[in-house]
Amino acid sequence: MPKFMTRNEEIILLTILKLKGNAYGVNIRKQIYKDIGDKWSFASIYQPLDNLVRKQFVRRIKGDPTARRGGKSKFYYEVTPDGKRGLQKLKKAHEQVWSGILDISLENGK
Amino acid sequence: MKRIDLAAPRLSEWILRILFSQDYYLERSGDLEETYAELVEESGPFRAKVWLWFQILKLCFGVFRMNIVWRFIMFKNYLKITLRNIRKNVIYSFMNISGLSIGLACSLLIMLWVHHELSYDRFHENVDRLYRVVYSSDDGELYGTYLPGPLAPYLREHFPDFISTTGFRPWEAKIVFNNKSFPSIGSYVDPSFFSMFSFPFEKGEPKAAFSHPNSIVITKNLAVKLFGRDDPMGKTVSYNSGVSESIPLTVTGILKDIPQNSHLQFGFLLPFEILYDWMKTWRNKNVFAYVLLKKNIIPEEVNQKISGVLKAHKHDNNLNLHLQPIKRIHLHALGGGGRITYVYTFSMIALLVLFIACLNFMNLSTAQSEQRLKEIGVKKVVGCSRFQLVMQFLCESMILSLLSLLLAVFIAVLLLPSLNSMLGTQIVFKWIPNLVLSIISIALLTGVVSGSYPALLLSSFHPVPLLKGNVPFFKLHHRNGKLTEGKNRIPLFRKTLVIIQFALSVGFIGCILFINQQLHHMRNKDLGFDKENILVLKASREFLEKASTIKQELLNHPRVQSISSSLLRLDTWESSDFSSAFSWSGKTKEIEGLIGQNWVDHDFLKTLNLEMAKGRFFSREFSSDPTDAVILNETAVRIMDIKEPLGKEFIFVPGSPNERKKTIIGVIKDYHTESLRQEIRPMVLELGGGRNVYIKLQKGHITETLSYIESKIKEIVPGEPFDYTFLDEELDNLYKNEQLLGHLVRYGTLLVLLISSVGMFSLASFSIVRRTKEIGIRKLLGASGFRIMFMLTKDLINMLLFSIVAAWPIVCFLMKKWLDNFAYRISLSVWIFLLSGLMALVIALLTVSYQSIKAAAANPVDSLRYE
Repeated sequence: MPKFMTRNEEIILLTILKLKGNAYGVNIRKQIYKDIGDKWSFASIYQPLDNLVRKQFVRRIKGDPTARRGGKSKFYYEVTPDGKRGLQKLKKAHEQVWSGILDISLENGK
Repeated sequence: MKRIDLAAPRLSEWILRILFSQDYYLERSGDLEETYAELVEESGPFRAKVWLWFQILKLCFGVFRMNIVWRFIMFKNYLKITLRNIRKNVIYSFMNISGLSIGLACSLLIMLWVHHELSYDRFHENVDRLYRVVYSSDDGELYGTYLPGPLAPYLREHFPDFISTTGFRPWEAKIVFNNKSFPSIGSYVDPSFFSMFSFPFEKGEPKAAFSHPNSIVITKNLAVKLFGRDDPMGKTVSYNSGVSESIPLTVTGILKDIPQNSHLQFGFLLPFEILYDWMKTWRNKNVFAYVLLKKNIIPEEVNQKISGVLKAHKHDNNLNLHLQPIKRIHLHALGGGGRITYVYTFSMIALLVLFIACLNFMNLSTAQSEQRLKEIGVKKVVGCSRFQLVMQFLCESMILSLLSLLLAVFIAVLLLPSLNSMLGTQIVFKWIPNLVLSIISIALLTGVVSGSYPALLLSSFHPVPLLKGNVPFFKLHHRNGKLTEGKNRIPLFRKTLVIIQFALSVGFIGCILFINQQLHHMRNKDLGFDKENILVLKASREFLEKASTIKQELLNHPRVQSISSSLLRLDTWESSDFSSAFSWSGKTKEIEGLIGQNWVDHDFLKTLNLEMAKGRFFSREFSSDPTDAVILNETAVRIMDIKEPLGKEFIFVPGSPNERKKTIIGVIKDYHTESLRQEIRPMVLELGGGRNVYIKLQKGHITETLSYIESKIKEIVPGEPFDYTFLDEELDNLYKNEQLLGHLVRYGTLLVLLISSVGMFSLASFSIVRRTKEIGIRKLLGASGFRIMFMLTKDLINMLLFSIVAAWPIVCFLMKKWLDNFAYRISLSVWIFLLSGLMALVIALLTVSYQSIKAAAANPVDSLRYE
């Protein structure tokens, strides 16, 4: 993978990891709300999800239909080894880039 | 909690179902519904609904954006493949694109021309209410536009239907300022002229322009010539009409230059008050009359009211007045026909050329796409959907056709100047929405139609036989089961295209041959007088006053053979002084129609080398000739049906105060005074002479003689401009329209031949490539090169013969109609038909011969190894 994933993809991938096998659309959205405090629209969840699927960072698994969803199946997401590797790479890059930057608080930074 | 309340609205489900494929729909719809249900419980159905729709809107946007991105990426791929294909078959692609672009360029140019022709006189604000008054005889045989001078004021005073009327009397005169004199054609008009026609003023007030009679309004063009950069307003120029003393006139207005698409063309305008008395009588017909109708007046009703005006005022008993809309003047001749026929003809040519070019394009691109069956097979195997294939082929052919459109515009821009010089027009390339739209849609349509064949048909095949090279496609054209035979024949659709193209080529060649022959016939027909080496001058009044001195001086030069003059032009037939009324002693029957008239001097016969049939010409030995002699032409004598015309009395305008009696002293052999469209009409000559001077020169050293004549004239009449023409050139002008037709049909022929040759060339090479193996095997089994060439061209020759036969009757019909315009015309000879067919055949064979010879001469081993 020559390119890094986008920030949204990163957030979603981490959320899926955190949800441990219970990651489907609604849950992912709720978890993001808990972590970040923003209510994302479904469109902005599905788009990075589709990209992740295409990049084979996550796998899509069809679940059972539930009455709550009008008899429609859930689709769970699971992070693939590729996805984990991508995350590691990204994290390493993050640390490299942030190292050396000591203080970015607004008061002193001027 | 009821289940129903929690279900998302139906419509949202439906939208999602459209946006996403099954799995994704299930996921998205399920997720949304789940969250929606929670929201309903938390904050009520209204807020939940708002939220839901917001979500769906965002999803739609996402899908939409993705689609565009993917389309664009696919399009990039199509473009790449198209460019690769163009590069792979450079020659065919080049021919294909250039063929279509030539066709498009040609029709673009013709459309521009047609647009220009149709735009004539449309710039007047009141164009729908502006009319010209014209007359026609009771029997409809005779019609004309020259009317008596007092008619326009009379109509204005006596009929309430007109807002204003104006006369228009063109006059060739000289405007002199500071000893600089410029000849120009202008006109006498009424002051209301400016309120009727929208010729914008550069300087001056339209209403005040003619407030006093000694005024003149000049165009900017003339103003620049006369005054250079000075302000002409208020300056006094001297106006020399050639028939009376010079008059001083004050410039009261400058008009912007008259646009080319106006049928009224003039360099200056004068008020009618200056006009000579002899033009102001009801007896003469030499002024145009224009009227502006009031709003909501039906011209037919006005026609009824005014039709008898001429009859009431003079002895003209069979002429009726009626109105002609000015927007029809340029294109529609009074007796029917006119330039509009050319507009139709060339629109037809444009359509045909475009049609051929489009057919060609389709033909070639379909032929080319058959070379790509393997590509289609591979694409299908790796999972290309049919829709994508269709899109690919459509995109490809549309890219090609748009490329040709670009090239076409380029070609048209390049060719426009030469077209303008050929037609004498000033058409510019400008944005005409209808035209641009139609040409773009034609190009796109061509692209779509030619792309749809491979797109729809070829994409439908199963990939396996395509890849095996066992092409199912060729079976489609031959249902008789003889597959081996049928496999290599040219499909019927393509055959028809070739036949149509070729028939058009034959038709064009035939037409141009006939037109050329008729033009040649007209130029070389014996007109009854010599037209070679005769100089034509327009004399001024000063010139005529010193005519005898000039004549003497000029005749001193050894190369000036003789000099003569006439009042009216040699190439017109006018009867300006009187109407149809004439009589003669011993008159036995009434004569319908007019007699043409001219005043000529003693040397007229000698200078133009005319011949007498009976009697003598005017002679200086007879002192009574100026007052008492007339000469008739043979046609006049025949119509009058007099056995012994000599010595009989000829009476002009019998029974009126202007009655004149003269003696017939001779009969001149018929000579043509008009174009050969007209039969020779009766003429009567009187002794006189006038502005039209003819100088017969000896052959050779023309420039030297001309400079001698010029210096002599300048010496005797200083300031006289030396504008000359030669008689044969002047006569050629009579056939301007015919020559134009000839030019255009010639170019049309060239284009059609070019395009269809391109088509034939590429088509032949395609069918030969397809038969490479067959040719190899035949040669291996002992077929001779000639035999193979014959085999390859046999189909073509058959088609050509068929189309030649189809083209002949059409040519015959068209040319017969065209030749009917001419009183003196060629007959439709068989050899021209044969020649046109032969020429087309030779061109076609030459086009395909290169490839068939190459194929026939090729080493069979190479052809068998092919693939």
